[in-house]
Amino acid sequence: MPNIPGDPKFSAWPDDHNELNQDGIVAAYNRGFIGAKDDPAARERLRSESMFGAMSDAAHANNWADSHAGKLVAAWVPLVKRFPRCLPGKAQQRGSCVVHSTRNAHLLLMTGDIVTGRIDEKTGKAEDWPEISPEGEANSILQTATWYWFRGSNGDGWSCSTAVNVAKNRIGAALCKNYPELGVDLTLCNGRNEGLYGGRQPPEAWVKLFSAHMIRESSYCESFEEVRDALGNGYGITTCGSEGYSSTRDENGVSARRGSWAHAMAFIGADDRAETKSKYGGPLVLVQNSWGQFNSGPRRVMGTDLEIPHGSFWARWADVRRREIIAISGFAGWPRRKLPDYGGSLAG
Amino acid sequence: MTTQKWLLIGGALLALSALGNQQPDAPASPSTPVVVPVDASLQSSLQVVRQLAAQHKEAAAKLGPFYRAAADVVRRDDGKLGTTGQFRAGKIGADALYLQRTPLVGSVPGWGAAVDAVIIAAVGLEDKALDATSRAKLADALVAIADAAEGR
Repeated sequence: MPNIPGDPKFSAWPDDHNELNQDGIVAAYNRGFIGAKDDPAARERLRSESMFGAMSDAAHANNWADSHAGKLVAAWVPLVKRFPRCLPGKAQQRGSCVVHSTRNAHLLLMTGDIVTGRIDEKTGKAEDWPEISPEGEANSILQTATWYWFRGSNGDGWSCSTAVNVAKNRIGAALCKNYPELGVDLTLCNGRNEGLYGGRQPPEAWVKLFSAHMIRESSYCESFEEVRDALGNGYGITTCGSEGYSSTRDENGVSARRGSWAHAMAFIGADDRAETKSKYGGPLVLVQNSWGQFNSGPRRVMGTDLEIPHGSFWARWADVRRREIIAISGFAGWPRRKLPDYGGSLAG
Repeated sequence: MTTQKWLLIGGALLALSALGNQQPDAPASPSTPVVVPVDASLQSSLQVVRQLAAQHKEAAAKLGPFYRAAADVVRRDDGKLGTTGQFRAGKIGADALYLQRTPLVGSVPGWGAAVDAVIIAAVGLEDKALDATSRAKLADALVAIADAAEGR
């Protein structure tokens, strides 16, 4: 069973205006705010409604089980090359970590679809990066609010399974931009936009517009191998759990366990290299938090020229293995734009 | 180094790295002319290639094998060139590897646009999956370009 707080009641969010600065957010989680809660019924529903409830079944069915054994899976790299400012993005301003993790999983999935040239199963077309303003990029491209509007209350905190269920069945991803046709500006991923709805649901016209970019499948991961291969094959991963971590990274970007956060965070990389396992006693996963640049320390990936994003840290698999880990797939993204030409020739 | 040597090196790089997946026992490009049925819509685009080849016979004859090899790679590919966009990227890389720092650079003004027009007539500009049909169309177009370049 995932290691998530089972208390059905959320802790009170410590600010009347539902918006905190970064220090306030960190303090709230450290004091025990429950941003990620366990919902066994939602988990069972999501598992039963998925084509492959277990990621290992999907991996074997698609012939990529163990495809990334022994490798460093740098799944975040193409995303930050294309959009250098999108991770970590703006720190969450209220207890909406679950949708920030869901959003980051969508970003990784979108990246996987694009860089692998995976053809959308419904449209039959390749997908491309969306067009986004600099401000939209700084807000991490995809709006967190749409999913959060379906949390069913005006309070804060949610479950990863329910959020993924909503992303599959109720409402999709929206770009961080102005929507004059709806009379709402969703450029900013902030507490205000996330709080527009919750206890009541958004208008049907909004739901219709934002249903174009949904995910189609999800699977639970219970082993490092499932996480590693899912990320290596371009899936996104959102997780919920109760482990806290040090706000400083060691010389290789690894953070040790410290304290307890009832919190959701995305996995955006995996390191299964022999030298890594030798040094840290096992494989690592790269965790992307949603608190902005809340931590410090080296970001260089051991033995490479790569850097992990700000606000992220490597964690030992042994420290995160009890989290609720959900891989998402089948994102209906943005169609690839027409090719300008076939490149001509140096001959003339 | 002679142009011929550069072309040989470029050809090797083309096969080994740019368009990838060469099988050890892969058939060599045919040494005898092969009659390839070409879609009628390609003909007007091909006519421009033929005219350029006629005006620059020596250079065009050296360009022909590139397109014949590319057709071979496209036919044998098992998915690395899964979309027209991936083919475009592969073609750009292979073209550079084949021609860079050889006297063939700039030798046939208008060649790139003319060749692109043939490919566009075959598979369009939409970035889409190369299924069996579009893959065959693309390969046929590349062979037709090779034939036109070599005056066949």
